[in-house]
Amino acid sequence: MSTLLQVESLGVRYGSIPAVRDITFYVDAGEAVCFVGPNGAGKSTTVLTVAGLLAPHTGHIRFDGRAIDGTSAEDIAQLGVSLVPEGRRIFSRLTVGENLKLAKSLRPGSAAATRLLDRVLELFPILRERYDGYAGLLSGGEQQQLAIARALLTQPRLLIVDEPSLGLAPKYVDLVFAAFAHLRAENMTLLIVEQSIRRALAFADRVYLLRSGAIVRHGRAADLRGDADFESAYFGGAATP
Amino acid sequence: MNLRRPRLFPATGLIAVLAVLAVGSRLWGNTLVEGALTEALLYLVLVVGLSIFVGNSGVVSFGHIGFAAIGAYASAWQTCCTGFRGVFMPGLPTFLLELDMPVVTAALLAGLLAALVAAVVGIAIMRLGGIAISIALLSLLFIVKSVYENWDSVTAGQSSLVGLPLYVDLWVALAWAAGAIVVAQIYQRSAFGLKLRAVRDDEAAARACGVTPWIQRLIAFVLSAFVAGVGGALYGHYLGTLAVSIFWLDMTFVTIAMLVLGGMRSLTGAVVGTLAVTATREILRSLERGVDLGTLHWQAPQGSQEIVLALILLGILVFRPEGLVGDRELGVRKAV
Amino acid sequence: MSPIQLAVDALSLGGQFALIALGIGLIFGVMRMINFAHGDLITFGAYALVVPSAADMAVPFVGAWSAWFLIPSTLGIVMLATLAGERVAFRPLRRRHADGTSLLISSFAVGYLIQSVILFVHTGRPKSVSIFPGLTRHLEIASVRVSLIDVVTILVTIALLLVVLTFLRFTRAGLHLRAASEDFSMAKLLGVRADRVIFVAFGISGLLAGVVSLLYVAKTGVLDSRMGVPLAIAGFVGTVIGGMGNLAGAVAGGLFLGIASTLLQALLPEALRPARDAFVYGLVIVILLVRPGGLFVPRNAAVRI
Repeated sequence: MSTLLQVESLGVRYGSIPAVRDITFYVDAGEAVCFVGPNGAGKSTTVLTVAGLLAPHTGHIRFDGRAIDGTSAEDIAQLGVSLVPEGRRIFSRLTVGENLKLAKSLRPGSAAATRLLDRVLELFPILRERYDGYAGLLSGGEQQQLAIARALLTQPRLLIVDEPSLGLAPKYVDLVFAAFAHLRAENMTLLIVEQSIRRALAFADRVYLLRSGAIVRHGRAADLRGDADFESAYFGGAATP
Repeated sequence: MNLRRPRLFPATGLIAVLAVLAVGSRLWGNTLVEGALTEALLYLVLVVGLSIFVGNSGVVSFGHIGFAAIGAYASAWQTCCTGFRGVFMPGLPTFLLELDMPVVTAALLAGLLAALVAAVVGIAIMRLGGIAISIALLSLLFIVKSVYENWDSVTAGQSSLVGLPLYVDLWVALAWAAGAIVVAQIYQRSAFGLKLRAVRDDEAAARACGVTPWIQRLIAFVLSAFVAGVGGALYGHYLGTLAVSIFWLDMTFVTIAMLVLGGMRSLTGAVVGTLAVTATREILRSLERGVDLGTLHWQAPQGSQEIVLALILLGILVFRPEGLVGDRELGVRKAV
Repeated sequence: MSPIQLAVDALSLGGQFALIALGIGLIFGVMRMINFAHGDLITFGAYALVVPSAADMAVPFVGAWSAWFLIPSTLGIVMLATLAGERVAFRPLRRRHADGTSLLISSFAVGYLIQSVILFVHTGRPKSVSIFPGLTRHLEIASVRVSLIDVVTILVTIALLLVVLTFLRFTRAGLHLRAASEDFSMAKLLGVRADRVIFVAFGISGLLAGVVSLLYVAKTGVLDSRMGVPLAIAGFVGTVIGGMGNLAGAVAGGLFLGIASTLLQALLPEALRPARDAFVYGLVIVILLVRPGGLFVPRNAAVRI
């Protein structure tokens, strides 16, 4: 398996305050990787930096062998990294259809894109129902589906989703993770930021645990399931490297 | 903020520099330089007034020159053209017509009127967000101009008001500039100044600490309007004549250029910017009058100074956005 | 004045203000910056009609050409100036992620620079120039006299608004622009090209400014270095009334302002008329305070998170 995303010694600061210090991780093509960790661990900062909205202070980011630190967000998106940020950020003054059309318009190749639109609407049928309504009128769970559908329509090679379950009713969380499982079956590479360890371990191939701006544990999900040490590391106990 | 900084700086240092410049220009005996320095010091009062609000709040104001106009006319109402006041400004109430106020008191009262107006409109405007405040303050400048130009009976409307006592010379200007710097520094060091800068840097965090942003903005706004009002009053007594059109976009532009050029966030920046812009303007003005290079007489075209000034301001914004001195202060080591 | 005449006056002024407000609103949407230079770009377009000179008598330059050349040349000149301003004064600041204050001051400086250059070249004395002399005629419709230029202004406004709104609604670039106006960084995350979107916004804004130059000069025939300032202020008021960042609102706000000022001018007692402007500027502050989202809140504003 080839490495799609490689991040080395990443450090990010807000002003003079470090939010992330010396983070190193990778995501292989076709893999599903989860970041877990408490609030303020630096998970969102890391993915925002990978997507190009924040500038790294130190370190290197390579996507598909190409250095992308210092590249603009739009260029990174064009290279095939799609981030669904926390809070979903759908365009509420555009219709659901326009949100999707916008994403579709950013990739050439109309026939394939139209087929993809059909498939995405199969994955999230509610969006077909609400197609001509304003996106701002959707419920939180529906907006999350729209945000993911929109990201998929840019035909990413790496889909990053930041806190997809935040503030969602359980039935929507299940629906969203079912969609991720479906994407994974189709070999989509996924990097998901998730607060729930249980869910992360159940879903991912590999898990990174972040705390206070650093990676404190990582490993294969299969190995970490039932590892009491891992859970205690999450809650601030002594971490064994 | 490092509270162990020397308490007297930068104010004492800045005042000392200005005093040395003033004495130097008098000893040199060049009236042109002395005149330019006097004008710079008067502008400095306006710029320091502006910086009390802009520097600490981070919100740019395009309306402070309106307060200068209010101050200038308020001082004229109290001191102008004894004996003829009723002829020029028949609309003044009788107590003002007969008043013969000492000029210093008149200037302070003029500042107070500006502060009062700022308090009234500020209660409303300061609740808005950053860009909205800037637009509202620009609207305020237009309102002041429109009202004063049409209020013929107390402002002589679109014509000029002549006969203001000409008492502002180099030393008077220096004294008031020093006063403005001291006021600005006291405010900057006070708990109010600290709270407002906290709002500027992170409004949400400041709120969480119990700071009410609009009240802190209002305090700075009223104080800065007072200083700008005094500055306007002094400017009137430096010119001897008043017209509403003096306090308009040109003056707004020049004062903002001075503040940005030096560094919006520092008092030293206000002084450096004011001196630098005045010097540039004087040089360009004398070029517009013409220079003799040997047998050659060269004259810069009229209007060069405004263009050059606008280009300098744009250049600073593009290449050195923090201004010439940034947020450093004279004689103060930068806090880490 | 007959009601019909009044209505034509009101709509003509309102249409002009709507075009200005839309021009300012487009840039506000993508930059979160009020473009103070917008009015001065209108001035710039008007002065392009005459030969640059310090002489009192204005010699028509672009203004002497036939309408087929005159209109595209003026629009092109203003668009180029607008885009040049973006390139020189705003893009470097944007690249540096400068704060809103710096952008605001920068646009103020650009406006002042344009004014100064015009003063430098043309002196401060107002000049007169006549374009489309045929339009100053009056029309007699059912025994009501209305000025042809006012009717033309209304028609041009309607046509132009339809074109711009169609562009925004139905083209790819328009979709990108609307998305970027709502959430610029999200648009970038999807791969929308920031520079291209801003280029389009400034281009349309410049086009609108150029149209206003022509309409204004055709009506008044007067050039003055500060003529654009009150127009820009009217545009700010319009954008504020309509809710900053809401394009349809900006158009409605400009229209509302033009109608309101025409009616006030006609209906206020003589003694209060000079205070009309103060009233209009006061209106901005009042609206910002009571309805910061504008008078015409968009349908879905309530659910905006």
